[in-house]
Amino acid sequence: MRKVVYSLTNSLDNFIARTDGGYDWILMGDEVMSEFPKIYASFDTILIGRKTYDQTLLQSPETGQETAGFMEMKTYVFSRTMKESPNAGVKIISDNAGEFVRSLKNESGKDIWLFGGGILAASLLRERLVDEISVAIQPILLGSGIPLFPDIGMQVDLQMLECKTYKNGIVGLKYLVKH
Amino acid sequence: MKASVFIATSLDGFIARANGAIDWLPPGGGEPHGYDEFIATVDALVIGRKTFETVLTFDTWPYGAKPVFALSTHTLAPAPPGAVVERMSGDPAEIVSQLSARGIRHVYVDGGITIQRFLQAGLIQRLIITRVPVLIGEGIPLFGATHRDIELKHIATRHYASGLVQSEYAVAG
Repeated sequence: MRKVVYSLTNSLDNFIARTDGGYDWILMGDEVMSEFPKIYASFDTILIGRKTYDQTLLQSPETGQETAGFMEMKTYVFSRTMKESPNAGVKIISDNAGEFVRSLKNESGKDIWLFGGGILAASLLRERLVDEISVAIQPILLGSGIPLFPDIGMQVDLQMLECKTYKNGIVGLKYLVKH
Repeated sequence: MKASVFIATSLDGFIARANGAIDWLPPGGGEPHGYDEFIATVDALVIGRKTFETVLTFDTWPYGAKPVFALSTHTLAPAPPGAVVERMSGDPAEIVSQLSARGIRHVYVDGGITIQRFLQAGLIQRLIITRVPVLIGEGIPLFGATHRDIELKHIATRHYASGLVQSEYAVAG
């Protein structure tokens, strides 16, 4: 079965963006960037909450043009309010997110990247549909912002799989979700 | 005077459940992860009243004869025999100057609100955070609101067989 991996970067105080969605504080660096091709190659499908989609994916950072899907992956945006897909590369999932993801996991293909935001991640964690959590912890405290794990409301036991540190102070941790 | 934090959190950033329970921590603190070595480097502890009261419920007083300054504006509950506890009050800058005047060179700051107040005031130099491989969903967060970004310098990260991951940061001055 395909894995759902919640993979993203966060501040040490567990925010994934500033309150206004800003991510100017995120360090990357060549060492981190050099791992992206391998990470991208492990996924062919991406799951995104509507707010995160609005904040991060509407425009290409280079051209300012609207992009078709995200990095040529099958892109699913979870929204109760969007009626029509903003472009051909994006499908809207408006209800039964859990059921949809459960059937997606049974299809053949590469792993599924749960890109966030926290609200979508929390709901899929509650439904026991997330298989791995991969965080890249930035060496900064923001004090406020959009939380990584909002109100899951239950305990989720994890097993540490990988721990890696980068020269610019990022700590990469990967966990298996115990079901 | 240098002030350090040495604390365990869940991956979702909580130091206790909402009711203060720490049943999700590995029993007995888990495998050794540097606490004894750390505590040997500090001259004293500064803890909040709530932490003091929580520690009083433990079977044994965990700080030996190490001086403990408990922050409270009210009289403290009596400490067990052998414990060295003194009440102190004031804002973090006042606490730091009182402790420095008494020759304390390295203090361990503990307790959620106390850590947050000292961080806000720019009076923490070192953070040693041990992540326990669990999400507890809700609880008392380690970190709180800040007036500004607080930039950190990553010093080292160690991981342990049980899945504990300990990261050490210097707080940029």
